[in-house]
This record gives sequence, structure tokens and C-alpha cells, in this order.
Amino acid sequence: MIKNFRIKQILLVLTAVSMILSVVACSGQKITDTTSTSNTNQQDSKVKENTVEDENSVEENPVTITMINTFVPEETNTVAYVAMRDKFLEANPNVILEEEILSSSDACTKCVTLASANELPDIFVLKAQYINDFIGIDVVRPINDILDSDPEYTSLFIDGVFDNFSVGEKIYGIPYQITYQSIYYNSLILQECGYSEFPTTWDELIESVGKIKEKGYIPIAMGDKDNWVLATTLFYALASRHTGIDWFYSLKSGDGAKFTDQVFINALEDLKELYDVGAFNEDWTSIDNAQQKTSYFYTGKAAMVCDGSWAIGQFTRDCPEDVLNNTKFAVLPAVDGVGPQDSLIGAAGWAYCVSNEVDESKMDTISEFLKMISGEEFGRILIEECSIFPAINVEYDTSKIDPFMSEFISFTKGRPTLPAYAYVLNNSVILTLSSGLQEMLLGLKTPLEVAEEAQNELNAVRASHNN
Amino acid sequence: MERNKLRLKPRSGVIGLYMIPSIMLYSLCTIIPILIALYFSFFKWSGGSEMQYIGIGNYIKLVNDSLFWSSFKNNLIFIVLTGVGQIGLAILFTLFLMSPRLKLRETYKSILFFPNVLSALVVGYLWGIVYHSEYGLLNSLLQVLGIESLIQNWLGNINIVLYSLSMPRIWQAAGYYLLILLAAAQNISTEVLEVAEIDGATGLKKAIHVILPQMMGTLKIVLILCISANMKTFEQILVMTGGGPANQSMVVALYAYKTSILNMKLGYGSAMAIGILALSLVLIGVAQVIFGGITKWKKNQSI
Repeated sequence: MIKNFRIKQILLVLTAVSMILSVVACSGQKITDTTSTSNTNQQDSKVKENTVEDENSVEENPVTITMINTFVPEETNTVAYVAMRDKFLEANPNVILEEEILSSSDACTKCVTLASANELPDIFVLKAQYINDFIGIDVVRPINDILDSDPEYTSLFIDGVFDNFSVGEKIYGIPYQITYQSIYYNSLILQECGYSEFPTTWDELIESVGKIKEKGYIPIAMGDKDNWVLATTLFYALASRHTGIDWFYSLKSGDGAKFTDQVFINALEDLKELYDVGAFNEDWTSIDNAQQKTSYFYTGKAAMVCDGSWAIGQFTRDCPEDVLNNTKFAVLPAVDGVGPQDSLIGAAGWAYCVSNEVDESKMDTISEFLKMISGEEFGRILIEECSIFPAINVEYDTSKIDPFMSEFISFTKGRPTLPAYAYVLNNSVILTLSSGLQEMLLGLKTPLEVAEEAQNELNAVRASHNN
Repeated sequence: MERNKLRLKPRSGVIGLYMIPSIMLYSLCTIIPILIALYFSFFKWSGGSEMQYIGIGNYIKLVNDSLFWSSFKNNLIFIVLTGVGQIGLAILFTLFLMSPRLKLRETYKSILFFPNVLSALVVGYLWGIVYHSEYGLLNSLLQVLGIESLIQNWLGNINIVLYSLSMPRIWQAAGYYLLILLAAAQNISTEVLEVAEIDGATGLKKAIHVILPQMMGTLKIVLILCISANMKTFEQILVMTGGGPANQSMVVALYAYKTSILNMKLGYGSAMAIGILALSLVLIGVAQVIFGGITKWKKNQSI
């Protein structure tokens, strides 16, 4: 009896010890796998360790750069980035790049979370609406020194493209692409409904909704599940038509313009009118930006879709030939308002930012890397192979441009471009306004209530910045 | 031989020593974060190093926050819907599994408990596919069966979204409560059941008048678990609707997450977390009072 008991005791102790050891051993492992979902597919993202060892580089100290970016394989701009990144790493074998590649919404969430803990990586990509908050808590480093030290590189940038990412004289991000918001329409469907041209006034557009519905099509395919598409691709253009651009700058600087001004309420009411005549698909709150195209526009069920110029690469890649050949571009029809009635909304929405905690000795390497992935060659590949507008003026081979993209380029020539509210107002105001739009369309709030909420949020943000 | 005999009950000091690891773990994971959240809730803080003391400013804002209270209302609706669903189903299954002539009892238990093993995120994602308005399993099934009039936008229609969201929760957790209630039911001494049968109470009568009253204590615990789980509900809502069309399916835990992390208002988010804790305790207190009242009323009835 005693012997059995002893053996049991020993076994028990061994089991306990091995359990403890296994828990401790696992905790030492570095997490190298992050999974995220992107707009179109389930995708695995990886932390990549790119090292190119060279026996001759023994004298150079290895430099490690950590980065979060959004260049997942399905994004259309990934090709340009990957090409330039690999070129940089080949030329600089002492650099170790630790990348975390996430979908755009996951990257935003992750960067916001890391910012609160002040643990951002050396380089990260950021959406313009977050930049003010990040500057406010002092986690981004101004990069004027990179721009000042290389005037040739700096002169490439299109005028005004840094506006979204600067406060006063200090510039906090290097933008790498510009997107334009416009309407893509299926000319065959519009012809069938009696329109040889896209409606030129707002009233015509409202009328066309009825005619398109009669023929059994969806007038406008909308996917606002993530609560930014409606605002960015449609509403801001409508609002700018009503309010004009001076009102907007006055709103931003607090010089008297308010969301509750009649011009803005007019825009809200117009949007409500469009929704009430049945312009959107039934499940507009359940599908997202990718699905509004794949489920409705590519399949020929919808007459129009509002989207950004990032969609051009997606169209070329995913849209069936017969629909693609009949797809044309249009701007939002004219309204009875102050702003330029034929303008496009366009701006740099994303930029490379540098963490404020970065080790200054790495700045030279980081600076070279950033110039590589935003400079002339990057821009050229971006427009030639990815059909995306770079943030710089670049000479490119027009024969290499995709035909759909060339059409769009000629469509944008000569049109005035206005900034998007989403890129310059504070994040919490944008979120309040976006969810307010959904609530207004579903009949839960009136246009005035939505405007008041947005204004209250703007006032609160301004008050806290003045403290 | 006396030395090798283990004491049946160790001295109280030794009991205390054995409990120290558990207490430390519990404090670290539960008590200390609550205290930290309480501390942060008195500040206005957006991350970074600047924290501004504002006393109970966050709590005043919380009381006036209409979205918080409408989220809480959604939580209450969930508690009622899923409570009735989960506990109701669990009781039904318990009575079903208690019947003496049932074969394959263990198989049924495994099948009923299986959904509970899945993570809430997986359940949310799966049911999101089922509910998809264009390509979802449910709408396709209704089409095949020919009852197209029932086809809905399950997750996008603000009138039915809360009902749609309760289904996965009921499916997932009914098995868990089933196990607890089954254990309680099996603890009822067989003598009581035999006597009841001799007295003529069989089937439904036996269930209502003999088995259920004996399980009252366990039912109370199951109700409290249900309330606390529903106040914490987060991942499924996040994956299926993200707060729903126009915040109509927002729940308090999701709202606290959005405020703290996405909106970068960490002080206000902490106040919200403390508010959720307070509200949960109130609800559990109310449940206990109601249950205590029912037990007393029944006792008075039988006198």
C-alpha cells in the first residue's frame, strides 16, 4: 500500500512540474502570426523578417526597422510597394525589416491601440482622420527634416498633398497615393432606362431612380456596413456642392461655420430624399465596400456605384468584360448650392508616419527607405501597373496604362478637386457624423439632430484641444 | 504507521496557504483591473502621457449618454430573449434527458453541449454566413422550400436584428446550462421521485411539481450566470453587425470597446466599464430578490 502511494505521489509531482514548464516555455515565443480579414477574402498576414546577409557587410551594424503597413496581397498598390521594398533591401543588406501586414481597417485599429500605449512601430501607415489625435497625444514624429534635406524629392509632391498631415509648419506624414471619389455607372443600363447621358442635375438623378427601379435594377449599389463608404464616396461630395469650400475651411478653424448651418442641412435633406425614393439596395447596411461592387455592380444588377479611385484596379481585375466595357465615370449631379458643381473629391488619405519614440540613429536608414517607397520609381509603378494615382508628379509611359485607368485620367483632367471632410476633421467628429447619417436614413433621427450631434462633438473636441 | 496517515482536514493556516495562488491569480485578473479602471475613470485620457483629472465628469457624461442607455436596453432585451431561450431549452432538455426509458443519453448530451465548445467569434462568423441576405444559408433554404415570403434582411432590418442576434447565443449556451441543470436534477433523491410516481404524478405533472421546485437553487444560479454572460456579450455582435445598422444592435461592452479603443477616449471608456459593472450587480440583485420572493410565495402556498 505504501509503495503504491509513493509512486502515485511521484507521478503527481512530475505531471504538475511538466504542466508548469510547458506553460512557461510557450510564453517565451515571439508571436509571429497575425491573421486578419480583408474586404474581399480571408487572408493570412505575416510578420516578415527580410534579411539579406552579405559577407562583405560585416563592418555595418544591422539596423532593425519595425513597420505596420496595409499592403496585403489583394490591395492593388501592393505590387509597387513590394518592388521598391525589395530593391531597398537588396541595396542595404544590413537592414532587417520586420513588417506586420494587415488589412486597412485592422491596421487602423491596431495603430490606434498601440498609440494609446505609446508602443507604435518605427514606421506605420495611417489614415488621415486619425492624424490629429495622434499628434495630440504626441506619438508621431515630424518629418520636415526628411523633406528639407532632399529638395529634389520634396519638389515631386503635388501641391497641397501634405495639408491633411500637417499642423502649422510641421509635417507628420508622407502621403503615397491620392484617391478621387466619383460615380461609376453602367451606360447600357442607363440607356435602357432612357438616359443617353448621366443625369446632370440633382432632380434628374432623383427622377432617374424611379425609372431605373421600374426596369428592375438597383439604382445605386451602396455598402455602408463599415460606416464610412456612404460618407466618403457620396455624402461629402454632396455636402461640398451645397456648402462650398470656404464654409468648410471656416468650419475647420472655428471661424463661424457650423454643421447646423442651412447649407449643410440642405445636403443632409437631399441625401434623405435620395434614400427615400429607394435609390439604395435593401441590404446597404449589411454589405461593405468590396461587396457593393462584387454583389451588385459587376453582376449587372446595379446602374451606379459610388466609389473611390482605388476601385479602378479592382475593376480591371475583377469586373467581367461586358460590364467593364460599358462602365463610365461621372461626378455627382449639380445641386442648388454654393460650391463648384463639377468638382471631384480627392485627397491623400494615407501616409507613412514615423513614431516619436524612434531611435534617432536609425533615422538616416528610415529616411532612405521612406523616400524609396514614396518616390519617383514607386509613383511610376503605382500608376502604370496598379492604376492608382501617386501623391507625386511623375512622368509615366502612357502606353503602359490600363485603358480603364486612362479613361479615368482624362475624366479627372481639368476638374477642380476639393478636400474630403474625412481627411481633415477630427476622428470622433467623423465617426459621429457617419453613424448619424445611417440613423438619419433609417428614420431614427432628423437631419437637424444629426447636424447638432456632429456640431456638439466638434465643439467638445475643440474645447479639449484648447485646454 | 500513524505518521503516514494524512489529516482529513488540514489546519486553517494551511488552508490559507493553499489558497494564496488562486487568490493572487484572481486579484491579478479581476480585482486589480477593476481598481485600475476605477482610477482611470476619473481622468480625461486619450492615451499617451497626458491625463487630466476631471472628478466625476465622465460619470455625468455617462448618465446623459443616450447611446449608452439604448445599448443597455439592448442588453436587457438580450437577457430576456436569451434567458427564456437558453434556460427554457435547458429545462426542456433536462426533463427530456431525465425520462427513464431514454437510450443514448450521453450522445444527446454531447450533441447539445457541442456548440458551447466553439469560440464566440467562430459562432458569430458562422451565423453571419447563415444570415447573409444574398448568399446566406437561411434565405437560400427558404427559397428552396418555396416560402420566399419569409425571406428577410436578418441582420440589416432594425426591427428584427435583435431577434436574429439572440439565436446564435441561445444555440451556443443552451448546452452549458443544460449540464448544470442536469447535474442538479440528478441530485434529486430517487426516493422522492418514486414516491411521486406512486402518488400518481407522472410525466409533465412530475416535472412541474416535483423536479423543478427541487432545482430552484440551481435555477437561481443559472439565471445569474445568464445575466452576467449577456451583460458581457461582445464578440458575436462585433462580428455579425458591428453594433448593427445605425447602432441599433449596440451593446454596452461593444460600446465601451469602441469608445476606448477606436475613439481613443480611455477615461470615458473606463467610466463606462465601471458603469457596466454597477448595472450588472444591480440586475443580479434584482434577480435574487425576485427569486427569493418566488421561493417564499411557494413556501407560503404549501402551508
